[in-house]
Amino acid sequence: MKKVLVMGGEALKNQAKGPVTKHVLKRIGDHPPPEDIRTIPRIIEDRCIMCGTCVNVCPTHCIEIEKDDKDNGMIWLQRAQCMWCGHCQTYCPKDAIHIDREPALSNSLFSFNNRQDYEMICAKGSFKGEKADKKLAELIDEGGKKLKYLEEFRG
Amino acid sequence: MTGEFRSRFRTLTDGSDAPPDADHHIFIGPQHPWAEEPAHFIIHVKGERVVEADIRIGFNLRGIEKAMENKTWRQNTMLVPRACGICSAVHQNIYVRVVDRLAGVEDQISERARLIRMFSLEAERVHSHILWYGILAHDAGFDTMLHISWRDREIIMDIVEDFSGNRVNPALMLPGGVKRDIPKEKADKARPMLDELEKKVLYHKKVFTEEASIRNRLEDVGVLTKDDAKKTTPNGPTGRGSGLPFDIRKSYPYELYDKIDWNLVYYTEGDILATTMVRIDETLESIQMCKQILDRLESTQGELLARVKPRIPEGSYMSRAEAPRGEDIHFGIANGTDTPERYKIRAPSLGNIDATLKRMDGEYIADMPVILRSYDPCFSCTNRVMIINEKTGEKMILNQDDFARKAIKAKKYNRSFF
Ligand code: SF4
Ligand code: SF4
Repeated sequence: MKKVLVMGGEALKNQAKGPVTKHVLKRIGDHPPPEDIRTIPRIIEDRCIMCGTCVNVCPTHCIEIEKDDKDNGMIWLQRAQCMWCGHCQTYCPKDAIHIDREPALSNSLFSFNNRQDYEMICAKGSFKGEKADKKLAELIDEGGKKLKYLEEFRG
Repeated sequence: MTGEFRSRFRTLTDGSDAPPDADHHIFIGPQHPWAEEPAHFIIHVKGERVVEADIRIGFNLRGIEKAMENKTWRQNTMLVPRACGICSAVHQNIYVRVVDRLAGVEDQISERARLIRMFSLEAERVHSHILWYGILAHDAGFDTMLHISWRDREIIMDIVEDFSGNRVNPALMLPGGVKRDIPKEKADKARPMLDELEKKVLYHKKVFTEEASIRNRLEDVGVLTKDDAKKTTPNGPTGRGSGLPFDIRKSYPYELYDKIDWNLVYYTEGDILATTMVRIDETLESIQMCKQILDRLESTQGELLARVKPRIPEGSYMSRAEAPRGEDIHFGIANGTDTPERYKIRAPSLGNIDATLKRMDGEYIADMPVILRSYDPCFSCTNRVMIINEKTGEKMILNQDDFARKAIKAKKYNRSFF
C-alpha cells in the first residue's frame, strides 16, 4: 500500500498560505506567555521573616542574605545565575516569594550588562535605603571587576 | 576479535584490530553535522557495505554525579532533570521516588500528586517521540515531515508550559509530591488540544505507513532480529521494535501505571520502520493516557505535598522507570546528612548502543544516518565514568587507551587494577 504524494494536500495548503514568517510578528501578540510562567523570584517584604530558607534551597546559590534579626536584613539576587526553578517559592515558610512574570526578561539577561545582574529583592528595617544601596553598588563594582579580568584574559 | 561477543568499544589507534575484510574506515564524529551530540563512530566498510562498526563515547562528561554529592537533596531535585535535555521529567521522577523511599514518605503521597506526576511523564513521552521521528525523517531526507511534526509538537509543548511554567523542563515533582496543581480550567483548556494532537499524530502515522519516499528508506533497513536483540539487550522502543515486549511501566509498575488502561506496543519486524511505528503508536497511547489522567484528576482530591525533612536517614535505594528512550536507572546512597553520599545515573541510551551497532552489519553506508538515529542517541545523559580506589580513596579519570591498557595488564598478569 505504498503511495506517492500522501502529503500533497498539506503541501498545497502551505503553498496557498504563503510564508509563515510573514505573520510571525502578528502572532507573538496573539500568543502571550502563560499566566504561570516561571521567571525570577520576587519577595513581599512584609511577609519575609529573614529565615534564610530560600538561600539554603537555591540550587545555583544565586540568592544571598545579610541580616541582623528577623526585621532587619536584606536579600539580593544575581539574576543571570537564577535558573527560574521556583524552588525558593516552594520552600518559603511564609509564602513571601512569588514568581514574576516578566516576558521581556531574556532581553536583559543576554545583554551582559552587569548593572542589571544584581538586584536587591528585599531590604527591611535598618538595611533599607543607604545600606542596601551601598551593598548593591559594591556588588556591581565587584561584578564589573570580574568582567574586566575576563576581558583582559580574552585579550 | 572474540567471535560474537567482541567489544564494540575497542580502540583502533594502530589499526591492528580492524576487521580483515574491510578496505576503508569511515570516522563519524565527535563533531559532525549529522550528530547533535558528540559520539565517535568508526565504520569499517568494504565497497558500499558496512562490515562492522565501533563506537567511542565519553566526549561529554559533565560531572553531574559529582556535583550532586556537593549539593543537598533538596537542591538536587533541580539539578537532576538537567541530566538530559529532553527527558528531564523522567530523571526527576526517578530521583524523587528514590528520595521518597529513603525518607519513608512513600505511602503518604496522595493519588492526585501521583496522577500529576504521571501526566508530566506521559506528556514528555509524547513530545520526545514526536521530536524523534521528525529528526528521523530529516535524516532520511524527508524534511517536510520534520517541519510538520515539529509544528504539531508545539501543541503538547504549550500544554506543558501552561501546566508547569516551562516548556521542556517542567520540574513539577518534588520529594513528597508535586509542586503545582493542575486546576480544572487548565485541564478543560488542554482537552481539545489533546484531541487535535491525536488527529495530527494519526496523520503522521498515515504518512509513515503509506508515503513511498519515507517507507523505502526505513523498511527492511537495519534489521535487528529477535535473537540478536536478546544477545545485545536493547531496552525501550529499540527492543520493542524487535519483538521484546518489555516495558518497565508494565513489568514493574510505578506511580499508578497499573491503575489506568493502556496497551503495550510492540512490533516483531525489527527494522527501522518497526521502531518508528512503536514510537508513533506509543505517542497515541500516551495521548490517550493523558486524557484519562485529566479525567481522573477531576474526581480525585488530596494533599499535593507531604513534608520531607531535609536530612535523609541512612540507606540506599535503586529505582527505575521507562524513559522515552528506554530503561533509566538511578541508585542513591544516603548517609544521614542532607547531602547524598553517592548518586548514580544509568541513562537508557547506553544500553542501546550495542544493538544499534549490530544493526549496521552488512548495511549500505547511505543508511547509516537513519540507523544511527534509530535509538534516539542522547549522550549528554550517557557519559560518565570515574575510577575510584576504595582502599586509598585515589581517584583517576582515564582516557580510553590508558583504561584498556591497564585492564589488559591486570587481566594478563592477574594483578590488581591500580
Ligand atoms: S523570602 Fe521566605 S524563605 Fe526567604 S528569608 Fe524570607 S521568609 Fe525566609
Ligand atoms: S528560582 Fe531557583 S535558581 Fe532562582 S533564586 Fe529561586 S531557587 Fe534560586
